[in-house]
Amino acid sequence: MLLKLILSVLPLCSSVADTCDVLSISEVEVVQSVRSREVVSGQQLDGEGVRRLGALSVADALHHFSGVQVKDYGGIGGLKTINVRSMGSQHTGIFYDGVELGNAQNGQVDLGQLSMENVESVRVYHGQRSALFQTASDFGHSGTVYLRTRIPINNHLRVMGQGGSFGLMRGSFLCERRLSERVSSSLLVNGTRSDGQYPFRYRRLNYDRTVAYDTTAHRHNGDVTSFHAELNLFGRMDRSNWHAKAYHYQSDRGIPGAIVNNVWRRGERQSDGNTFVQGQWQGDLTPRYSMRVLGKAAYYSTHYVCRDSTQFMADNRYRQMELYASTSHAVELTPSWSLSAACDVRHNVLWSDMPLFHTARRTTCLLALASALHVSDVRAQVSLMSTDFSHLSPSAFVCWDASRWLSLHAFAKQSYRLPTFNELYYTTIGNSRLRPETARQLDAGLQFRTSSQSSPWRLSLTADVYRNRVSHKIIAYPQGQQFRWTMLNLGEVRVTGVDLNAESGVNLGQWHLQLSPQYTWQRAIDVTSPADSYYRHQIPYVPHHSGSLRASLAYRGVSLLYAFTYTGERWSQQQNIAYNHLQPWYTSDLHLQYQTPSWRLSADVLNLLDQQYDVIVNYPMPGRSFRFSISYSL
Amino acid sequence: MILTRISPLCLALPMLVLFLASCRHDEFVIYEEVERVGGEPASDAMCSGLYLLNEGNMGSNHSTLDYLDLLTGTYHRNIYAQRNPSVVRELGDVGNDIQVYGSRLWMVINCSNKVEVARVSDAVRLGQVDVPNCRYVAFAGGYAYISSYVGPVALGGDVQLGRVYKVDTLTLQKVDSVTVGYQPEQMAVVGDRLYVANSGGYRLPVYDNTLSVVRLSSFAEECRIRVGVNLHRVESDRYGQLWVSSRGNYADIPPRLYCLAMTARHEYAVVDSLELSVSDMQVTGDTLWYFGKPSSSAGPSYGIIDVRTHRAIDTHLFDGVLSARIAMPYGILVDRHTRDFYLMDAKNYVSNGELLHFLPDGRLDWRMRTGDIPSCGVLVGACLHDAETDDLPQPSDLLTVDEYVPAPGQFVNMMPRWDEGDDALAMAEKCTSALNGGGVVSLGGFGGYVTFHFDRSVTNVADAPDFAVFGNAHDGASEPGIVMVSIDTNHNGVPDDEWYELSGSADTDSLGRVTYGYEVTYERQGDMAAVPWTDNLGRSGIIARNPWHNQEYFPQWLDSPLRLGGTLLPPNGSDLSHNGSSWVLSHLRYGYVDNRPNTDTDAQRFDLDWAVSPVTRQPVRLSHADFIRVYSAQNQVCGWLGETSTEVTGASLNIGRRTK
Repeated sequence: MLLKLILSVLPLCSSVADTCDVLSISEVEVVQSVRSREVVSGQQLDGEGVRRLGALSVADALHHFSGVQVKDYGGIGGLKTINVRSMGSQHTGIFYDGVELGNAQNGQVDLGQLSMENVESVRVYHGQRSALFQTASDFGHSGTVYLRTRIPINNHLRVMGQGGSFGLMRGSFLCERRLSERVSSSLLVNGTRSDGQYPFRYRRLNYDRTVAYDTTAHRHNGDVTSFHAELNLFGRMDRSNWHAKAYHYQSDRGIPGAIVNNVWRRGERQSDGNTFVQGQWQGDLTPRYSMRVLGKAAYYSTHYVCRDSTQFMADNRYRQMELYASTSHAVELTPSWSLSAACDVRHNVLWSDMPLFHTARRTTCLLALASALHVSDVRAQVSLMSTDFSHLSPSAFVCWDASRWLSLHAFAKQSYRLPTFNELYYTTIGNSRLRPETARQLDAGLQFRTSSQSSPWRLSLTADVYRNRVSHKIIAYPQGQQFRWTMLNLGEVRVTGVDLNAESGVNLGQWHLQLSPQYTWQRAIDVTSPADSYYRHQIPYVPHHSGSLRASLAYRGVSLLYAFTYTGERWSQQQNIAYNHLQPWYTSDLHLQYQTPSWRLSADVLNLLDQQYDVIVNYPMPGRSFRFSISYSL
Repeated sequence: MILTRISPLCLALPMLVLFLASCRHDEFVIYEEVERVGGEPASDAMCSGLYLLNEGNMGSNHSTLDYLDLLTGTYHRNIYAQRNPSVVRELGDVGNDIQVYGSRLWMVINCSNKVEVARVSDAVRLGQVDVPNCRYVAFAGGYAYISSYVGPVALGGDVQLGRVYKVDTLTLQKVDSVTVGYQPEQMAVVGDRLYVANSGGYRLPVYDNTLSVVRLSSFAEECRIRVGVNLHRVESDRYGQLWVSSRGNYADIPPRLYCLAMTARHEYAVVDSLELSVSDMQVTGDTLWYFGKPSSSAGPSYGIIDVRTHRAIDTHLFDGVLSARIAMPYGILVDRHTRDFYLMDAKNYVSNGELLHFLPDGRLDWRMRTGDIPSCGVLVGACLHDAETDDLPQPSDLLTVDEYVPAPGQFVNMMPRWDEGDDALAMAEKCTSALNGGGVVSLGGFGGYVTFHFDRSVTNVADAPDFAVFGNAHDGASEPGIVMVSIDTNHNGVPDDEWYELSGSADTDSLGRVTYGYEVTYERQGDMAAVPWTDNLGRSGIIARNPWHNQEYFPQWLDSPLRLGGTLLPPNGSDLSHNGSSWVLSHLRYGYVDNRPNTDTDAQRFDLDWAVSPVTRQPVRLSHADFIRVYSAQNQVCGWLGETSTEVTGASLNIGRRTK
C-alpha cells in the first residue's frame, strides 16, 4: 500500500485531507496497518497554512472548514466557540495532542485561548474520527476538532514579534531541540496583549432613506493580556513512542458586554489560569497488538469580577480539577479485520465561592468497542461507546473506493452530551435531574480527486449531505418567578445540510496557485412543539448559507493570500422575525508574506472592506485592521 | 482533464452568485405592525387605549412598546422606534415599569439605566432621566420617585444599598435622592410617605426583609418596617392598607402576601399575611387581583382578594382549561371601571409573548401577539382623570362635607384616618378630600352619617334623576345606606333645617319589615374594646373587634354615648354555607347608596321626587335641595365580615356619563 504523507507541495496546504485509501497520520507516527486507518477522512489545515491566514488562534482558522460555525463575541479577547453542524458547541470535542480539552463547568472551550504557534495541523471530523486505535472519548462526540503539536525534526529556534491595530502586541519564542537520538523537545512561550479599543458603527435609515441615526463609538473593556507556555517532550523507541506535555495559560481580560441603548461600556473582568500536564505512551507489543495509555491532570481557575455599579457586583472564583486516564488496545485479527477496546475514566470537580454553591463532583467512565473491516475497495467500521454503562453511542462508517478518483462514504451515529455542571448545579438555575442530550446523525458523501503525481494540476472535491436530530436538548426555561430560570430537556432540533469542499492547485514552474472554496447549506429547525411561535423556524445563529474561499499565489519566497468568509442571514432568537434578524456578513482578508530561510516578514489586512457586523447580536465586531509580524529562525 | 479545470469554478460560481444575491443592505428602522384584536370594541369604554411595555431578554436590546387602541380595536406592535426613529438603539434593554403621570408616559428601562419620558398622546419622546439600574416609578405632588439598585455600599458590607431618586416631572431633573434598603423594588405613596419594598435580591441568600418609609416633605428615610424576605410589590388600597408581596427565598421560606395597616401609634405594622405567591398584583376598589407561581413545579395561581376582609373572593379568574394554555403569566392589568382585565403571557422569555383580554365574567375575549416578555401596561384616556392621578382637577361637582358622624365600626378612625387632635371639623375636611379624591368614607354601623353639599343646589328635574351618590358595592356585597335631603330654609349655610328621606324600594317591597323611628345608642369603652349598643326596641349587642383592624372602633372625636336614629332596613345578609364562611349581602331593588356596583350607573342615581317626611312617611314636593346626608341603614353582623356599614366614595350632579 502506498504511504503518502500530506506534505504540501504548495506553500499553502490542502484543506481536504487525505482520501480513503491513503493512510492517515496518527498522532505520533504512521503505522501501516488497518487498525490505525481512518474510514472517512476529515478536513485538514496545516499549521503553516493557518498561520498564513493571519490566525492568532484556532478560532480564526475554523472559519475555513465546512459545516462549522464560529461564535465570536468580538475582538481578540472575546469568547470564541465552535458549533459543528448545528448540534451545539457542547457536542463538539476539542482534542489537543490526542487528549480531550474539557470544561466541565460550561462545556465550552474558548478557542480564542488556543494559540496556533506550534500547531502542526487542525482537523475537523463530522461524526467522529473513524479510526480504531483511539481513546473512548474520541467515539463520544458528534463533531471533533484535532490539534496536533509539531514534532521537532531538527534543532530550531524561532523568535517572532507582531504588532497591529487595537494595540495588539505579541511576542513568541519557540525552541525545538533534539536531546538525543530518541528524545526531542520543544518549548514555546508567547504573550499577547491588546487594548481591544476598536471603533464600531450602528446606523439605521428611515424608509425615505434619510438617516434615522448613525453613530460610531469605541468598544471599551475589550482588553486582553495573555501568556502561554508549553513544554513538549517526544520520545521514540523501536516499537513504541511517548509524548509528554506541560501546559500553562494565563490571561486577564475585560468582558466588553452587549451594546444596548444608553450603555456603551461595562465593567466585567475575567482572569483565567489553565494548567495541565499530560502524557501518553503507545506501542506495538506484538506485530498484531498495539496498546496505548494516556493520562492527564488539569487545574483550571477562573476569577470573575464585576465592578460595574450599574450591575450586580460580583467577585467569584471558580476552580476546576480534572483527572483523566485512558487506555486503548487494538488487535489485528486478520490483515483485513481489526478489533479495538478503549476505556476512559474522568473525574471532574468544580469549586466556587458563590453563595449557596456546593462543590460539584462527577466521575465519568467511558467504554468503547470498535471493529474495522477492509475488504477489497470497501472499508467499514462499527463502534459502540457507553457513557457510565448506561447511554450507548453506536456508530457505523463505511467507505467504498469506486475508482481511482472517486470514493463514496456514509455514516450513522448516535451520541450523548452530558449536562454541564452549570446546567446541573448553577446556584439559581441548575436542575440536577437533567438527562443527557441525544444527537443522531446520518451522513452520505462522495470524494473526487485527481491523484496524478505527474500533472501540475491538483484537485479534490468533497460533497456531503446530512441529517441530524438533537433531542432532549437542554435549554434554559423560565421557572415562573422573575429572573429565575431552570434547565429542562425540552428542545428538539432537526438539521438538514449540505457541505461542499473543493481544493485545487497548480504548479507552474516557480509559480504556485491555489484555490479552495467551501460552502455549507443548512436547514436547522426547531421542532419542539407545534404550539410554539417558532415551530419549524431556523434555530438561532445558524445561517442557511455560509462559505469561505481561499486563493493564494506564491512565487519563490513571496506569497499573497486572499481569504473570504461569508455567513448568511441569521436570527438571534428562536423566532425568525424582523426584530431578531441579523444581516449576512462577509469579510475579505489579505495576507502578504516574504520569506527567506531565516527571516519572515508578513503584513495582514483583515476585514479589508471595513464591514460593520455582529456575529452575536449587540456584540459588534472590529472593522478593518492591520497586523505586521517579523520572525527570525535559527 | 477538462473536468478538473472546471470543477472549482463550478463550485465557486454558484457561491459568488449566492453572495451577490444575499448581500448586506442598509438597515431600516423597524416600523410598527397593526392587527385587529377581534372581540367587540367597547362603546362605553372610559379608556381610549393601553400602553404595553415589553421587557425583552437581558442583553438583547429588545424592549419594545405596544399600544392597544380601544376605540378602534387595533393592536399596534412596536410603536416606539417608528415614532422616535432618531433614538440610537431604540427603546433599550429590559423595560421594567410603565406609568402615566398627567400627560406623560414614563418608562423605566432597567438595563439601559434610564427612565424614558414620552407624550401619552403619541409616545413621542420628551426626554430621559439617567438612573442606574432603575426599577420602578411612583408619583406624588409633581415629582417622580424612581427606585434604583445603585446606592452607597453599606458599612462593612460589599453589596450596595439602594436609592430612590426624586425627579421633577416637568424639567426631568433629578432634584434629590435618598438611601433605602437593599435592591428596592416597587413603591407606594400614602399621604406624605413613600413606602419602598426592599428585596435584597443581590444579597442571596441573605435577602432584605424591610419596607423603607420615606417622608416626602423632608425626603428622608424615617424607618424600615420588617415585613418578609425578598419584598417585591407594594400597593395601597383606599382603606389606607398596604399590600406587600414577598417572594420568599426560593428554598425553605415560601412566598407570602402581607397586609399592613396603621396602628394606634400611627405606624404601619403587619396585621395579616396570606400564604400566596404574588408575581404581580393590582388593587382596584375593594379588590386585589393577583397571580403567582408558588413553586417551580406547581402551575400558576390566580385570584381576587377582598381588601376589607382579606379573604379570597375568587381563585379562578377564568376557565381552568385556558389556564393550562398560559405558559408564563407575567403581568395583570384590571380596568377599574369595566372590570375587564388583561393578562400578559411571557411564554419562554425569548420569543413573542401574548396579551389576553378577559371580560368581567372571566370569558376570554381575544388574545394578541406582543413583543418579547410583555411585563406591564397602563390604561390611558378619560379613565385616568378620576382616580389614576390624584392631583388633576375634577371635571365638576366638587362637594364639601359638613358633618361626619359615623357609628362605631371596623373602618372608623381609618377611613378617613383620625389623627390625635383631630376634631369634628378636621374630620369633615378629611372626608371632603377623600370624596373628591377617589377615597372612601365609612359610616360604621347603624345610623352613622355624612352630610355634604355641592357648590350649587340640586335642582329637581321632573321625571328624571337629579344626583348620584357612589359607594363600593359589588355583587353579593351590598351595604345599603339611606339618603336624606334638606333645604337651607334659614339661609345660614349650615345643615340645621328640616330633613326629608328619599324613599327606597324597601318601603314598598318589604312592607312591615322596615322599622321607622329606630334609634341606637353606642357607648365608648376605650382601650381597644368592643363597642356595646342598645336600641329603642330593648335589644343590645356589640360592634365586635376583628384581627385585621387594630385601631379604636369608636369615633374618637365624638362624645359617648352616641345616639343615632333613622329608618332600619330589613337584614340583607345570609350565610349560604350555614357555617359562617360564605356570606352574601343581597341588594335591594333601588333607592340606596352602596347597594349596587358603581358600574350600574342607574342604581347610583337619586330623584328628589322620592322625598318623604321621615315621620309621617308622606311624599313631599321639593323644588331643590341644598344638603345631602347618607346614613348606614342596617344593624346586622355577618360573621367574620363584621357589621354592615355603608361606604360613600363620591357624589355628582353630573349624572350623564360620569361613573366613579
